[in-house]
Amino acid sequence: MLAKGFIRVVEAILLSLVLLAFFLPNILSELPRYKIEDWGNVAGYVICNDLLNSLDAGNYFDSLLVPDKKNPHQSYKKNMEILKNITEKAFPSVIDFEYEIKNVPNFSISIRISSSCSLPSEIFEANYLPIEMHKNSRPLSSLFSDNYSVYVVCGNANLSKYEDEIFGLLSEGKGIVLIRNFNSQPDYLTKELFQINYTPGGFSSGNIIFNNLSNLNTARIAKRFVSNIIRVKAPGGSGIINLGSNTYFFNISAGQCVNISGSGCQCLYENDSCVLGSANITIYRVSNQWFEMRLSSSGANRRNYIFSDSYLRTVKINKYTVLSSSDGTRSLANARVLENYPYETAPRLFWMYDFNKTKDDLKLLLKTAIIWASGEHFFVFNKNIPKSSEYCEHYYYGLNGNNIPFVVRLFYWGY
Amino acid sequence: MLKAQINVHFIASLIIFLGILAYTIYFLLTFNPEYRQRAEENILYAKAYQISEFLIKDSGVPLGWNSSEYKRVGLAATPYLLKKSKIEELKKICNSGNESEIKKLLESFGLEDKGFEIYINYLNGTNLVNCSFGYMGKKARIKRIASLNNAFVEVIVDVS
Repeated sequence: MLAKGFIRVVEAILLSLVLLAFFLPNILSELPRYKIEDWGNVAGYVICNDLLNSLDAGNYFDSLLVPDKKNPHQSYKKNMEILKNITEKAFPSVIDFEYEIKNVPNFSISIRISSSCSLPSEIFEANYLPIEMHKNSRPLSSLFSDNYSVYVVCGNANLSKYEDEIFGLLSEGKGIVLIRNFNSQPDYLTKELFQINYTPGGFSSGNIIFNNLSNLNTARIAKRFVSNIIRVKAPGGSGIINLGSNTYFFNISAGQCVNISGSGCQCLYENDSCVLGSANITIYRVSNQWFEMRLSSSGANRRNYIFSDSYLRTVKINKYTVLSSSDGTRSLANARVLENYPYETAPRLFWMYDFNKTKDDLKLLLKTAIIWASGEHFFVFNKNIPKSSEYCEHYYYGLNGNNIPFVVRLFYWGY
Repeated sequence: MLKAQINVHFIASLIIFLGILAYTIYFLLTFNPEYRQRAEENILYAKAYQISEFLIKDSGVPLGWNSSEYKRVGLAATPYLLKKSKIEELKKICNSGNESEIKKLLESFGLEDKGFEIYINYLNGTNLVNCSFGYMGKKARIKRIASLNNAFVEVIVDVS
């Protein structure tokens, strides 16, 4: 009896050894997979995150991404060299890197404009943030053939004829701005891209407002409008400011300050402000032949700016409407981001009615829209990022208090 | 007819099997030198990372701590933005040469039986702080980046 039990135990031991032999390879193969942090890899990610957080803590991008207004080109180059030096010293010397920035305009924007456009030069001359705008004009038939940041189309074009080219450009994150009135139902592509809800209607004139400032689309444009600038030309040292339904004569005194007739304000130097009707203007720069200004509402909400113009009441408002008639029923501008593309390269589309080109505030709005539609996305050093790269990213509140959030992604490789 | 009983041989077999299995796993975990070494390194790195977090993100305890009165050293005015005066206080502790002061600093970081080094340098290489205490054989190093007076510094923490 005892011997029988003993043999069973021996059998059990033998079976255990057999089972162990069976399971041992699995146990051994599991061991290296047991989670122990690989601090060698973590080191790169820690530096990456620290760098982006430190840049935020010291508000460094307020100066690095905002070139000096007197010599923007040199200033931008110098700033990017500083950013490169900081990053090189933060990472080990064998590491290469690249910055990707979203929601800040690229320093150099290329704009392809259809020959049918007759747009004032001020739209392309000065900007805040200080950037370079390079424009090039082509007939509509060859407009979409080359690589530009944004395409501007004016007049009654049938965009459906260029569907393949347009979708090709949109997939690369390019933007399109359309400036036209609608006297009839547009072609299907124009209607679809710019979300035009056509309805028959006649001309009207009066106030034009930002449509529902708490709407995301409207807020995007309104924020940029109040932080941007427009140049007002003064051939011979004097000229006219056209804001809302009012015009104001002005002269520039010794290239230093702007005297605005009937404003009740002293001669305005750089950074001085003055209320003109419902508008608040702030001088950005003054020269003998022009001055540049910011515009905002003089009311409690500075984005609640009121324009005035004659317009055609033929487009019904929808969720993409950013500018509407004062009764809130007709759209005068639609802004749209195509959400079915990756966030970084989501193409931006903007339609605006064919406005009065002498109005300084509406010129500023179009300038703002063109820059917004350019995608506000760029790689700082234009390096080829290998697939093996790692990255970290950080969200920033805005630049110099403009409340336009932006994202910086820092790629690094070579660990 | 099945009996509602467990065979004693089955219980003995199961115990023997589980015993051998547990012993083998224990043996492999304990005596795999590479694994053991990495586990120890992991602890050192975690310590170094913890100290670096205190240094660059925390203001210290109390907020206005100084070299003669502190519970925990932290160098930040706000996270990632270091304060020069706090770096100077840390420097005083490091340069004091007083064993009880150094022990207090080690204890404030929970490093009673370990050695550590702290270097703070501007990214151009200029050294601001150089602290070194205790055994520095096998060590774990963490490098952090922070901002100081419109410049960037690296904060290097070694723990052994």
